[in-house]
Amino acid sequence: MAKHKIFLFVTFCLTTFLLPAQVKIKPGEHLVYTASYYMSGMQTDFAQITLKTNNVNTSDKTYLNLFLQAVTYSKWDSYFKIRDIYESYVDPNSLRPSLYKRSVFEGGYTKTEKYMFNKDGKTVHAYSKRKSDPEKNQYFHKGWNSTDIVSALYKLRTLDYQNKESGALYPISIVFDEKEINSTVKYLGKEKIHAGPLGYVDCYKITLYSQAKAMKGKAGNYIWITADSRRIPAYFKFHIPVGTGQLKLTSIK
Amino acid sequence: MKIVINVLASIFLILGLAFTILPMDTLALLPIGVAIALAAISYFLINKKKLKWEKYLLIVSGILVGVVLFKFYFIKNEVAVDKKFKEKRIEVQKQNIKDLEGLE
Repeated sequence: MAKHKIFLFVTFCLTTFLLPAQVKIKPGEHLVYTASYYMSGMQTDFAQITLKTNNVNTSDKTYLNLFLQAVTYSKWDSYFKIRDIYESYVDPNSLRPSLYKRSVFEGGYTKTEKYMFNKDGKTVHAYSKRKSDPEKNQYFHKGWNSTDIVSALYKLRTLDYQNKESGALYPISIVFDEKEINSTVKYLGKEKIHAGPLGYVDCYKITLYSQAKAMKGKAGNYIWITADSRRIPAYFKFHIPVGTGQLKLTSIK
Repeated sequence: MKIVINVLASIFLILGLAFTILPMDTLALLPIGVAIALAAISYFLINKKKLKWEKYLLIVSGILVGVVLFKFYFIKNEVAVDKKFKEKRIEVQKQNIKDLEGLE
């Protein structure tokens, strides 16, 4: 449940700013994070999170592949092995998704999902399979602006924070687990933090409120995005019943 | 009172030992720290016959602290090379392109 919260939070931080996008997500980006659990000043690093972007060409079109992978460190593999992939194929300019896939392997639990977004922008054809259960095949409707969880994370970076005031609230909607989940992002202003290989940098700080069961009513979930042209998600901090979880940037290409 | 404290210290030390063996990194220092505090209280502050047991608790706790710090500073976190995972990923990528072609 905590791990699902991590991914829900990480990708829910999206604002619906109406200003035109100023940052474009480029292919060839490679960001690596260390996922850690903190309690009373002590920590344990348990997984590596990788975010990558690549161009993918089909016979008709070029898509931007937004890729998120979570892998436990080898020291944890014997106890609780995680091999999760979340990826989306989107329009390179609008980041509107055409195909979303999720593959989860966590301590023996497996789940796969595939969402094919209809061109009308309102219907999603969803396939999902959990463990040894039969595959589910269904259609569900979504709002025009609803997007998948990975696209939401990247879209967050393309928005214009510069002209926004601290305290601004923005509703967002994300499709996850064959459901539409309504959330709100609050922009908290600029803050200077240590961002691993980037050193001390000014960042836009945002927080998330969600109707998702795992996050309902819970505060203390934050993301810091660098206040430069690259808009790198530098640091994530999220609430857990005991202690906190964090993602720290360790490598950037 | 001394026995109660020694028993509690032993319990926390066992927990600390378990955390040290598991990949808990510096989280292991939390129960070990409690064990050290309780053993120290028992050994230095409670004016009764000093038992060898508290000494052993303190020595073993110290060794565990050393092990935890050694692991934290000198053993780097690595992701295992997972061949099956990589092969599956290649298959999935091919399927993804087929799915995208099917959408057009």
